[in-house]
Amino acid sequence: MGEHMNRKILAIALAASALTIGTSVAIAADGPPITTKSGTLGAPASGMGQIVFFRPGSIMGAALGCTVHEDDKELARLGSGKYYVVSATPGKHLYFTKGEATDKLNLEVEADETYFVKCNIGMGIAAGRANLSPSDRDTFAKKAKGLTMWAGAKDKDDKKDDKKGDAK
Amino acid sequence: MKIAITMCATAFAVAATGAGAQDTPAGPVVPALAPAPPSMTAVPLARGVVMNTPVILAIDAPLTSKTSKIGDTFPIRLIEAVTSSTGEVLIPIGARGQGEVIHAAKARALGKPGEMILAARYLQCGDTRIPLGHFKFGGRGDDHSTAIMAGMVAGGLVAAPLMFLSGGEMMVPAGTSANAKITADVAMTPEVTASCAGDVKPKE
Repeated sequence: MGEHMNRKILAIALAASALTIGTSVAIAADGPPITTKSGTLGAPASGMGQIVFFRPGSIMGAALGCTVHEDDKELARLGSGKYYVVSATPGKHLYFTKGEATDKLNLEVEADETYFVKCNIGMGIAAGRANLSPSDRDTFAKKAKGLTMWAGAKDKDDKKDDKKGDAK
Repeated sequence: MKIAITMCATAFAVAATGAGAQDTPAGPVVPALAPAPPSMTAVPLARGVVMNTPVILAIDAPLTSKTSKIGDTFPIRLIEAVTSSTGEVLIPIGARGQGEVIHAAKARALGKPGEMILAARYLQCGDTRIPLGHFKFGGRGDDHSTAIMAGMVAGGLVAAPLMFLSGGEMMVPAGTSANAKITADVAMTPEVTASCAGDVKPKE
């Protein structure tokens, strides 16, 4: 009985695993404009780079926020299906999320470049963990039609996340 | 396919013109006080590569998020020659250089995948360093968190050991190619071009 159960669990796990695809890719060069629910993604300001943090809609951790920090500043608080564009000076930057575990992402920003960082809520011991991972333009473009720009502290979905709990 | 570029004739011509002005002084001809350095007189600087020229590189060593650390360097190699608008090879196939690991994180328990971001730093031709940027090569391994979550939901406590499953590592096989750009104008004399191929050797 126990062995049968273990096999069933393993089969489910493997089936779900088949749905996840690893990405180890050269990040694509510039392409056609990307349009989201909130408009077209612009180019970085002259002499600056920009980072697009995005969180595709997902059932997993849907009630949790993904709060992105740099130093002591909170840059974005992304609910499910949100993105936010951060302008950054060229050079090294360390972005991170806080919560049950801290997840860090180092970026080296170059002028006139756009970088894409995906946030997803992974599994944790007691709560979901917000993870930042390098992504690419193509991945963002595929999800763009379902994404809305985070509107800062006034974002109505952001308030909803605050009430339900934040993964930060 | 070779990458045709426009030579920075204007920029280099300024240097050549400046040197030429000394050849026609208005007044009596006087001997030069000292010979100019060889690099100023031997070759006119009308040959070079310009900023933002695209290059196609190969990563010349296998990399994995399991063992890579931030700041690690790795060899890179040019796999398509950079040529002038007339087809003259300025940087040949095989020119070698160096890249650097910008971000590395091992795969962790609960299915979190390994991550890596790489940067191309430069190509080296003799004593001449050609700076590179805009490499934008990064990614992550397989994310197993969804699989683990599915297993946990289905199996409850029986499936608790699944929590110790880690995600997949990001693997970059040797020979993986990626694009970058030259980030500064660099004069490329025929001697410099000749010193690009193979191992870097100091000038005699």
